[in-house]
Amino acid sequence: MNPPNQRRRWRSFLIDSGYQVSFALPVVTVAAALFVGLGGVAVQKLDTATKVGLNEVGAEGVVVAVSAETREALTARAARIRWGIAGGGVLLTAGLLLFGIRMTHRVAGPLRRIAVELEALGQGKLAAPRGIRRGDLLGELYEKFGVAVEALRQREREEIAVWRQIAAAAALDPALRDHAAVRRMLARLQDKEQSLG
Amino acid sequence: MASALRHHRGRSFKNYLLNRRLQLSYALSTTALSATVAATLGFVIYEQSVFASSQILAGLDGVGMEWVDPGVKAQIRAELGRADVSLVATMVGIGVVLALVLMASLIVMTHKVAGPLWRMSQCLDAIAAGRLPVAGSLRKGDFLQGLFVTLGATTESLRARAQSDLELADAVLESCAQAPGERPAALTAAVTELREAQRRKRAALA
Repeated sequence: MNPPNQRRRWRSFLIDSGYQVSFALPVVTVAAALFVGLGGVAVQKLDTATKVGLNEVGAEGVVVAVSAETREALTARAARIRWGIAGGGVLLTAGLLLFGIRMTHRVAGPLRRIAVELEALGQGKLAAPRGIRRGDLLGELYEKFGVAVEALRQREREEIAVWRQIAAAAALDPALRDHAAVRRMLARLQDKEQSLG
Repeated sequence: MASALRHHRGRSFKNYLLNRRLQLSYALSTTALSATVAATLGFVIYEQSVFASSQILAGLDGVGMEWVDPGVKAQIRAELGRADVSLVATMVGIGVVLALVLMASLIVMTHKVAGPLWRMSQCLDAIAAGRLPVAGSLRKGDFLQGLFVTLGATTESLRARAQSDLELADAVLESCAQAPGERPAALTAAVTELREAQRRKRAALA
């Protein structure tokens, strides 16, 4: 099997948008929802940690003074971390969406090829499969598809051989030579030979 | 009667991983990516907590705090240490739950792709083994419905062509049987071969 055009382009990354988007979006939604939950807890923990520093800890009546510099540093760090949580969430969501589209592209590509070749099979063209791109998933499935097509081709070749035998024997018999069924078989033989390419 | 592929319509936990390579590669990489981001956030929050604790401890050991009983100082240190460890434990716990929930939902999602691929694979295996099965339909909620419709149309078309070939060859066999005179040896041999081919083709459609 000769692999088709190997190049991938961004604009063609959505080969089957219905499948790719409807698969990637729920995954991203679940991840985003989990991240919002985690982010909420994280912010709560961050606030607690920051408050411990800002409000000075007391134990057994002891109050530890915290310098203004430290207060400023803690507040600034807390703000940075809050932005980090928000930014991390946005980056994760966007990253998962892109990753999902990329992964589904590696599935949608071979499936599109199989669909095109299935349609050709349905139209009676038993051409050998062309192969999939390097890096595509579903190599095993495509291989099975190739084996199935080759089996169909082999069965067609065997049938052609048997029909040829009948046609050759019938040609020698005046009673059969011009029989309508035999003539139809000869016409169908031509179609069968063409279907093999 | 047409030969439909046998399959179970329901989903059960034991067969959720139909295509390990496809499902796990996506689920693991997505979970790893999310876990990395979550771990990074957890780490910076832990750092903030440790920083706050270290500032308090520095103040406790600073000038003017000598009057504080060493036992009380140790108690404060222990409390702050426990708070830091508790924070780490909470963040790790939440991270693990997040990873597990995400992983489980990804396996369920990828199962909806792996299921149709498995059904398709069965259909192709049957064709390779000499049968022409009816593709059937997918379960509700499965992805790749369009592809399966194409597969169904193709198998139907292959079956229709095979049926038409059978009828044509039957007609030829009938005309051979009705031909007057003695049948030549070559024709007899060809008829025997064609009858065998017809038997195989009928079996493929059964």
